[in-house]
Amino acid sequence: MLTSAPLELDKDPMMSRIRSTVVMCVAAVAVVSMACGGKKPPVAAPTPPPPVAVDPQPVAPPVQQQRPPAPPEPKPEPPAPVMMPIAPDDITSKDLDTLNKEQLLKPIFFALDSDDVDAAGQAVLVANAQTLKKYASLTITIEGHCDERGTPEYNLALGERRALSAKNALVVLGISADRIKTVSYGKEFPFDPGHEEASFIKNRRAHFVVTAK
Amino acid sequence: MKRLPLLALLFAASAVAIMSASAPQTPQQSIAVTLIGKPGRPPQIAVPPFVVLTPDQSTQDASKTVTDVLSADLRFEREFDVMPSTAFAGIPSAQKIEDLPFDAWTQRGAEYVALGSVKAAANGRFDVELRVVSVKDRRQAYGAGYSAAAASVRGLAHRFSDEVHKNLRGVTGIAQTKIAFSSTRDGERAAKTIEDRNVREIYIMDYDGENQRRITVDHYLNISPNWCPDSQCVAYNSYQPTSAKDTTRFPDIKIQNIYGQIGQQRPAHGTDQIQNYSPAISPDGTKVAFASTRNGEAQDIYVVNRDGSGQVRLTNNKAIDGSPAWSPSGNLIAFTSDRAGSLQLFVMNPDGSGVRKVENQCSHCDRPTFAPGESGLLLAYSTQTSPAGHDIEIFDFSSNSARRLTQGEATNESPSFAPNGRHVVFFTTRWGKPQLAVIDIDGKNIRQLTKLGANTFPAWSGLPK
Repeated sequence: MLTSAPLELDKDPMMSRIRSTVVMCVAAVAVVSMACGGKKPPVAAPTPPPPVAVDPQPVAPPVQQQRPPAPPEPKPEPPAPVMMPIAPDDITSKDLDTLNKEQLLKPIFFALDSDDVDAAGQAVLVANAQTLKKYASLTITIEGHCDERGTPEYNLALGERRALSAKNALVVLGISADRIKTVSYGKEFPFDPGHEEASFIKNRRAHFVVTAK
Repeated sequence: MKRLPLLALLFAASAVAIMSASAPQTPQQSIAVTLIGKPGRPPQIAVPPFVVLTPDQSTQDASKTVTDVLSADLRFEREFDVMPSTAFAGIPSAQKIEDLPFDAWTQRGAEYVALGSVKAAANGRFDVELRVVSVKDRRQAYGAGYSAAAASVRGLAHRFSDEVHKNLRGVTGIAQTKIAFSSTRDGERAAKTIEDRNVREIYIMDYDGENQRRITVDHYLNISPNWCPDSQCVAYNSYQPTSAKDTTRFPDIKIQNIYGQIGQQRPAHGTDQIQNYSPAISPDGTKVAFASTRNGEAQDIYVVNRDGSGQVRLTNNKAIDGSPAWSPSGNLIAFTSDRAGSLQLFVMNPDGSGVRKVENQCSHCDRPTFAPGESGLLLAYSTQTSPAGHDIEIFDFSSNSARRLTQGEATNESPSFAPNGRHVVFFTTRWGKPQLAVIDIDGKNIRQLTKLGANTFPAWSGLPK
């Protein structure tokens, strides 16, 4: 004889819950996938360009201006203006995704296990600050990232420090802290998937993502 | 088999008796000593194929599954020396104890014989019985019978294993436990990011790597899972916005039921200004310890009730204080801090008082995790052992000494104890991309659990209720 009474294993609540959850998970994945309109192909831009100096002079005046109230007295018509071609303004004509993929604001890079902004990084930050001053309605999120060395848990904290370091530098350069959010992705989103220093140096970075214009 | 020479060299250097180095690859190897506790050689057990009482294919499949899984479970815990089938070739199968050829089994060295049977029942179910017979005493040492659907036969074998370990060896088995982790395996790409980003979701699997499946559908970054004590829910770090309207992504803590209703809680009340990491649910299930940058500086440790009330800040300084972990009794919280330079391990009382450094030699230590249960106060963690490599160590508070489980093969990080304290799951890059592996606490029996995608942040569940 058996020493234990027969049990209905399938009536064990855990067992039946496991099966029902599988179905629910599959259903949930399907629903969310549809809601998101499916996956989009990745857009790769793996090589960070060198810092680019931003033209210190304004390229174009604001496109839309409020007209002042109509003058009370009619005046003689001015001579017809000569129409000059105006360069299209990137900020107004492009959507956020395009602006970010084209890196309107350039990334900065860090030394191993460091959140110090070096001279090259500072030059990029000065340029980014000029862009942010020129387009005062832009708000941004600074993403802190790390290379694959170091533990995942620590890199979340290091990425946070890098993002804060970049934010503080922009604030010193006169950008309002209200316009800047920060987030750390640790080492979870490498810019370059390689496993050599040439890749690591691109992955120890702060990205500047425009979130509103 | 390929890894055997390298492992053998490593073990020889550590002056420990060489034994079964890689059981899944070499199941015929015998075990020289038990893992912990009982001295001497573990008893030999034979697990012949469960007798098929209804001769159809599905019953034969069920028999093979329950036989194979039970054998693997018994081998895993190292409390039995599971005999290879070649060792009992020619011995006729038996259904009843009185039919067993005891003399033949004695001659082959078997101390226990598992007598199992599978019979098809109504509605595609199976009646499965198991008796473990003591050859010396010629009587039953364990016996049980269960009914299971075909899909539950694996779980039934795990249950047999846990009961046999408890009854015959006094050991708490972990064959019915699960492991949660973060994985990129779906190959899904995050939408609207500058560079190509792999979505990470939370997955769970059985302790032996089977039944791997996804439990989150956040479509972005999901990491740091941590089990509720009842193993019915998982707390994790999600970067999903709080609503569809707000697309700002930030780390916050979610607690999600795995089974039944997929209700979610956000006890740390995250926003883009209140960012939260590394949840750790207290052993009594009432509180969540976590790290947060809400003060505008590096991470500090906070604790909050599961319902989001009663939040308390436990550490307060400009250094990083992260990766909180509760001791089994809930009277200590371990955490990492770089307040003294490189990342070191500290412990404190649950109210933030009594902070003291763990007295180990640490080179960038991370992810502390206490051993559960009554195995003494042990802390597993990773420590940096080469420029890009970390190894798993266990620190024993009673002797103030540490021992290393992995030996510098690639990197080995993020340990989590099995709920019986006898095994540790971690991730390693020794096979290429980060994969989960389990190792016994004496540094033996490393086994690869995952193969698809990159898999990190393992967390072992508690015991089934």
